[in-house]
Amino acid sequence: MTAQTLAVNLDPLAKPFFKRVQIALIPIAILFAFAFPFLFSNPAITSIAMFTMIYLGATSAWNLFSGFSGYMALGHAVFYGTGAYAFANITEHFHLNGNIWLFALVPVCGLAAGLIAAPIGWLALRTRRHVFVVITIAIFFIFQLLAYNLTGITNGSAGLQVPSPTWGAATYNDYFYVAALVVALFAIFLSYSIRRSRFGLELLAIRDDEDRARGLGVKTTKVKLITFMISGSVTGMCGAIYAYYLGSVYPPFAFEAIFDVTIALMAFLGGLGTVLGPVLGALIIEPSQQYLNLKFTNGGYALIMFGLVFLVIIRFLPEGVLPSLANLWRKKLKSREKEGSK
Amino acid sequence: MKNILEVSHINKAFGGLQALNDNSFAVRENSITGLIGPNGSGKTTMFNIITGYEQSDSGEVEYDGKNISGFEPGEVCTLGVGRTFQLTRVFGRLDLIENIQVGSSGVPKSKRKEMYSLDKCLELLEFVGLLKLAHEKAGNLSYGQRKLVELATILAQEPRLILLDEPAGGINPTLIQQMSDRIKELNRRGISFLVVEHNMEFVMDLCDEIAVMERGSVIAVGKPAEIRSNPRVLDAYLGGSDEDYAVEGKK
Repeated sequence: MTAQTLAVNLDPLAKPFFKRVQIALIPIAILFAFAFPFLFSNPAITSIAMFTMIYLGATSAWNLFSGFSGYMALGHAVFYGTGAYAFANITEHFHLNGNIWLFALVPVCGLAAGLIAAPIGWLALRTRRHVFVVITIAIFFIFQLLAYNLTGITNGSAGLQVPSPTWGAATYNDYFYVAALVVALFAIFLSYSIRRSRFGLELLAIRDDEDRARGLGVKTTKVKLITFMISGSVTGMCGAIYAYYLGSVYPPFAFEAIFDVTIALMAFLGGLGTVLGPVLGALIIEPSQQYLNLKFTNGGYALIMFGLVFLVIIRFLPEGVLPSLANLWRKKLKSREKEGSK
Repeated sequence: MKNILEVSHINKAFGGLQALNDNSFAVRENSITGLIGPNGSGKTTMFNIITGYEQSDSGEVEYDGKNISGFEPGEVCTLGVGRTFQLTRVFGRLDLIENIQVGSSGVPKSKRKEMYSLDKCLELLEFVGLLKLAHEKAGNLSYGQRKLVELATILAQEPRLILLDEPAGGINPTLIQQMSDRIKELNRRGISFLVVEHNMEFVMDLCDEIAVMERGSVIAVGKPAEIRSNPRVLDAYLGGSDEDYAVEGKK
């Protein structure tokens, strides 16, 4: 028996049938995602779709670090804000016009956020668990304060203006949607490749027992820091698109505490430390939040709903939706196999 | 025969407690050496110092002719020294294949890919008898099975010396036999062992040589038969006191 057939026999969900279904579903999902603005051209809907993609990218990026390594970072808004301010500063400095080519700046802004992540990670990753969480929150507040006070870069509470897009109002959201979708797909692709690599395995090993991983020769500091920077970088790209979309950057929007909690909640809901869990989480939470905001105009309702959803998940699906479903399915398939063999 | 591991004059104190007191012993190449002694005699501390998890206050650890005192755990592992823990340490949410793949992280680059491969992992799982559980999460396994996973993980590093901390502790007799067989088989393939264990039957059957520790010092070294009849060892284990000696002396 070869290794591959054995691996397949032992895990019912690894059977060729399921693999084929998965492989077929991916291009369909991607095609649908790109066709979405053509299918639903209502700006109210495309705006929700755009925000969903921004959060999808951000939560995938967050999960890439926190979900895989087990280090719960609650300060990723730092990178989101850095991306937004980088975008505003670059466009202002070079007097750029708001055309479609400005999206080429998104990776540059991501790079800026990644560079900011280096010293933060170097500092914060010396600590573990609860201390790490507290430090990331503290760093977030430091950045929020800096945004108000480093007026040379941020223009303080007066904020910075970003060039307005030159395309028409009817398709205004669509370009942002596609840009956010590309970043989101990039984030998912990164998650997937890292999860499948030795590097990703080392991250998961750190999550389970860091000292043991170190004792087995895993270069824990390096692995954690690189991932933290990648994660911050992708989050920064999302922030840049957000800034372009809003047309201006103000400290409370760029460095928003709710952002930190939201992306974590999305990953928790879908399945922390899985590739597709955060995707599902973002697809569920962001549209419903946007919808509630539209419906009640008062953001408070959405927050209350968030809290309730969080409690329900922790109580009934502590692993998140996807892993719980996969386990249920596995059990069912196994029991069916047993009956079949009787 | 030359020594693969040589520990000389190791001292280690935790606060006021002298955990290791001028300890010296050696593991000969291609041997299975036992390290026994009552609870609290410093065996695990010795392991921690050899593998870099703790630093000694003074003294030297020499592996394969190289002074490795003060090395990081990862460096020691890359040199070819693997170890297990008294309370097993596996990656609970990873399956067995992934657990073993992590073990290949410390392998020199040229061999890393081979040791990381699925075939190699399944081969190692088959070797420890856990092939059927390849896709099970390590956290779902029994204590004894985890010890075997730990062993397989270390084997992925291609070690030349393995330190086992109570490989037979708290596991059922069938698994003890399995563990013992595996260790002997690996030894035949040229891997040296240093084994801490309380199960005397297991140790006496397995080891070529035994070092006995008591209260932080090595009090005897020798073949199992010699150790069995050494009065100091019996005393340490059976808890004889100075008073008993005094009474015997009168007789």
